[in-house]
Amino acid sequence: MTIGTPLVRQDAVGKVTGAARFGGDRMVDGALEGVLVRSQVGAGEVVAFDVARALQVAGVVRIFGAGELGVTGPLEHWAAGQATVPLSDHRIRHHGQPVAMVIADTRAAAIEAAGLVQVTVEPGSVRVSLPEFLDQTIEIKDWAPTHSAVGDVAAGLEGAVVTVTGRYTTADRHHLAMEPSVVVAEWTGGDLELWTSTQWVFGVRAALAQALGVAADRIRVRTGPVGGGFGAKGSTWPHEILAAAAARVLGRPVRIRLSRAETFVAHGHQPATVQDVTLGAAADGTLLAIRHQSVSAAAMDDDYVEHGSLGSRTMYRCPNIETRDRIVRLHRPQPTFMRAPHEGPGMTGLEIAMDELAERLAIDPVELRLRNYADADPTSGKPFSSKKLRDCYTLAADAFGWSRRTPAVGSMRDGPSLIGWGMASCLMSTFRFGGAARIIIRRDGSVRIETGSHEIGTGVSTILPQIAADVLGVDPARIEVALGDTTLAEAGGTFGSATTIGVGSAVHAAATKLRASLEGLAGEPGLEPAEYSEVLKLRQLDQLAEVGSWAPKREEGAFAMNAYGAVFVEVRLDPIVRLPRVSRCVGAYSVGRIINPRTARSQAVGGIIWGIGQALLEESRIDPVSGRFIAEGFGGYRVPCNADVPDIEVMFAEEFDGHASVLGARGVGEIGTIGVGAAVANAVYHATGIRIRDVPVRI
Amino acid sequence: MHPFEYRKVASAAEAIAQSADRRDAIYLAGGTEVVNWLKDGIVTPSLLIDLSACEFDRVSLDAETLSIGGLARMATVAADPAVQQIAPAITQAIEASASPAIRQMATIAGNLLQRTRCPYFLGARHSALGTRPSALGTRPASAERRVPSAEPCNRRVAGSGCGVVAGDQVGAAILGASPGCVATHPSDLAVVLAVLEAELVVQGEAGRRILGVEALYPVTADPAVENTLLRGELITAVRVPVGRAAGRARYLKIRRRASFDFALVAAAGYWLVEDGVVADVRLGFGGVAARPWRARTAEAHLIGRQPTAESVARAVAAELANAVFLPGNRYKADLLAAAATKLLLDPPGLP
Amino acid sequence: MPVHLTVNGRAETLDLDLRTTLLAGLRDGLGLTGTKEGCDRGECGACTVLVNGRPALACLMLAVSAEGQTITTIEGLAADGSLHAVQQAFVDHDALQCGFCTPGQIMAAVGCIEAGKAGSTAEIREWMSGNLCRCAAYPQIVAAVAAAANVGR
Repeated sequence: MTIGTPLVRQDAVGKVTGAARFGGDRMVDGALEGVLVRSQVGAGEVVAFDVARALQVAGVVRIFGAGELGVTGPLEHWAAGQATVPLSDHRIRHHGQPVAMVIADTRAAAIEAAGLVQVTVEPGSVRVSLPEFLDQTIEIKDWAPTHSAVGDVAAGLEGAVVTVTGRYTTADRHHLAMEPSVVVAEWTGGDLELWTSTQWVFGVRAALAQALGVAADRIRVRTGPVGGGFGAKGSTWPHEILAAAAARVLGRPVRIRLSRAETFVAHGHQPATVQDVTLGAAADGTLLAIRHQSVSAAAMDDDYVEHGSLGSRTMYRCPNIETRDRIVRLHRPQPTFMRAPHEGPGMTGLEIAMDELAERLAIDPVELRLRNYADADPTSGKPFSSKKLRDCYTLAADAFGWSRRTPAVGSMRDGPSLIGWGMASCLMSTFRFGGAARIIIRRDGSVRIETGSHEIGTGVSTILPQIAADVLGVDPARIEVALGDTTLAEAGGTFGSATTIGVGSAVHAAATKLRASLEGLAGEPGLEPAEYSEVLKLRQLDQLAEVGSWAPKREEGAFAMNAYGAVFVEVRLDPIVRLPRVSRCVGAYSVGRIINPRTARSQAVGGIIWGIGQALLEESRIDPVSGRFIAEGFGGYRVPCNADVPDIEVMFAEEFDGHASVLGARGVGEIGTIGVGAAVANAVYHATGIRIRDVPVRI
Repeated sequence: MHPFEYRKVASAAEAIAQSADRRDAIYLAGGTEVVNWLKDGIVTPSLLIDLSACEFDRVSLDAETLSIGGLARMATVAADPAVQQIAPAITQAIEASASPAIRQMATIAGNLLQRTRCPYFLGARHSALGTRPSALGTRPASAERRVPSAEPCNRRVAGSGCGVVAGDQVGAAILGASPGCVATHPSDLAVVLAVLEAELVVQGEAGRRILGVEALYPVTADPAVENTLLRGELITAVRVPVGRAAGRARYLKIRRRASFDFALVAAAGYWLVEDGVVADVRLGFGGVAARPWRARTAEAHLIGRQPTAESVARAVAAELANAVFLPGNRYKADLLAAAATKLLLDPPGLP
Repeated sequence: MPVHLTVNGRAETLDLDLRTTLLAGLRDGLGLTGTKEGCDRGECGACTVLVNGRPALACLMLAVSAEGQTITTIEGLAADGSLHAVQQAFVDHDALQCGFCTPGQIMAAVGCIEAGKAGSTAEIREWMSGNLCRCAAYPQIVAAVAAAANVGR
């Protein structure tokens, strides 16, 4: 059995020696460099360009304005991060939107010329502030229902002994993968090859096909190792479309490298949310009503809903639940999915409210959650595919030492330091989508897996060999993996904590078929792995390949599927300065079977640290006049650094979820980020008596 | 980056001579500031004078003075045994600055000559040195002085206004600001040096002069005057008086991120308690003004008082009597009082 | 303008535009792409290299001002085909995920250990804080640095 063993990352050596080649590390002969000129107003129309001086810069090849690139919008495919296509019209929809593109022999020349392009703008009035426009919310159609209702919340509240109601907010945040995206587009005749930093090569192909008016089979999209994505590289964004379009017009390869500052506006962000949560409970803590209404900031002409209320539909047993997710249109770049979307911001509101309820009822926060433990989805009524959340509460509480907590505010100290202990439940909907993989065994016994999936740091290139090795019985070190290419078997995007389920199951299917074929060739079942080479030699085959695929089954729709967890944090505050720091954290997760405890642990730990960032550090502030995200760098937008990170302990509940995937696994990539914001806020309350309803915490 | 010529010089005298020929030359030392300024178009010199081969980079000590060369690297100074013994707050301030790699490169003089990190001063960097839409451009950009930002900032473009006033105010100054500028100075070290009453040895065309470290900065924020050095002048040394202040002072920095972050507010200083009352005190603040802020009003208020948190709170309130707050930076008053209280009552330990 | 550097033990001459940073010189001029550009403003540490044995940010140094200096990049760390102790520790402790910040982390770790600042978890955390990791492999990085420091002892 190789599944379940802590195999060392297959790509580790390449990454510690500098040999791994990311998108920006590829040299492309004859490539031109593209630099986007971005709007410095938040709304308006471009009325004129003056490129005379910019064209005088040595090395400048061409400067494109609106309508000159042969790109069309709006894009309908959901792989497009936004429907609007900059440079297809003259409208300015947000600060930082591309309004022109300079193409030059070198990046330095392109940058210099970009600074000389004079754009005349008829500025429009700019809507920036979410709180200011909260009276203008709208509900739009989206991939998930934007509202839900079971029972009668008003009646439930009427019967409640205790009611908690509050407004909770989360901030605008950015993905900020360490690798700024790079795209290189090259046409040969009518065929496009595009290398890009992406989490979804097939998605980029689909979106480009529409934007460029080219058949998808004339487009090949590739990626090497991706230097982090977190959702920003999950969809197709304007720089990818514009690079391809410019290369087509010019007949030469075009490369666009985003600057760090551009990564704040070029490919989405997690939008701020304002959440109104009301809970009603009986004296024993039994929930009688949950109302969760979430509003997220959205772009003017593009649709993205942060489903802040999603978790409240499922988390607790309650007869009366009503939820709604709405947006406010503002002049801002298009938001997008970010680790972890929806429940990431949304569970913050619910889980702080639960802490308030526990306090009002004088019930231990863990006990309150156990009293409302859902054994079936309270909104859909469906049974859960598998749920080991009780184990998570117990595992994490014991490891944390929760039983030693004294509930009174300010009652725990270490010397002069104020200490607060807080916890939260974690829940994230499980996304599942199909995938395919090809697996090849060669006469020398080596194995190759080919699938259009991606290595973004999650460990895909390590766990796929583990899964194949488990079926075939071969040493995983003898299994290589080819990823990130639309000429390979089609796989979904590497996001939504869905790759193990989808691609992992496809590899399992392919390996199972391969083994059966080998046994068929041998004419006997129970073939030993050592005999594979013999069989191929005997049949005079150099290699044998099989393609396997996996897709969710209709009957599995009868189950509600989620990742679950419980997270406990300790915060410390100096009694004078009172700036909270997380000093300890324990998380336990119910995510199905763990394929590789080493990479899974790193995913969960990383997720928790994202949660610490959400809780204490990360907020992107917007200039109210121009609509500019003012940070534009790691100096102004603080992501956690090493010193922000305490001792973190992660555990996984023993579990096999046969309904979620053939592997028994669900997803582990994002659940760690969830609940931490609330747990920290609750811990700060426990230490100080200051109720935190806005993250990041500012006291 | 705007094109420039480049010359490496071997001495301060040579540097000054080179600079005399070229009015818009600037000096390059550690590079951790200047290289970013060049990239962001904050400076557009025609000549860069590289000081890295010059030798005014030593730390020396005599009975009265700890002398630190202007070109000494921050990491070298922080690790110097004489510095740690004579003026440990200098090590504290340096080790609270930036990151180890930056401290390895950055120089002491360069640290004092940092410019603000105000987001309006830095401008809209996503536009790759991009254009200003001309509808906003009351000041057309010229090739010589390109303005890579449409953001109003009087430090970047005289008369363009201050974006903070109607914009984001979280980082804005509360002391010594002017209607035209509410930037803060980012240096940690400068706050300590102000409290230690250090002097700067400054060399220029007119020869050598001595400048109190506080006198390096305008009293009131002046967007047109970054510092009081004359054109071509260099800080060749920082001289710290040996004595009680240097020995006792400590530095406390409050920042959002636990490391690698600028101060929300900072405090430097110490007090000496005799017969139950404050007999001697020095106090300085960072993160509140466009200069290191020596809190002389607070100091005067504390003398003769009991060494309590209440005394400190009242002293800081007295210092802030003339503070001007914006809605977004009011938090700094309480945080500053907390920083001063913590510094004086429970001073941070030495490294 | 010609610039002479010793990079990973080899004498190199680069003919560069004066405006070229050391980072661009290493990557574009010498093809040493192991050193990464994460922000180009000294705010992330991805471009950390050793200059004369000490950690420095290649994005904040003009190549021309590095004239005559000795540079070590991630490509120059492994000797005789075997990994440097810090590289091996990063592999062993899963101290990387996407791997983009990893070369900078490793160069900073070498400097941290060399400077004697790897004595405790708290000290390692503080002295490794100039190198951001958005995957947030920080606890594993700390474990790797501690382990590599012990190897050196």
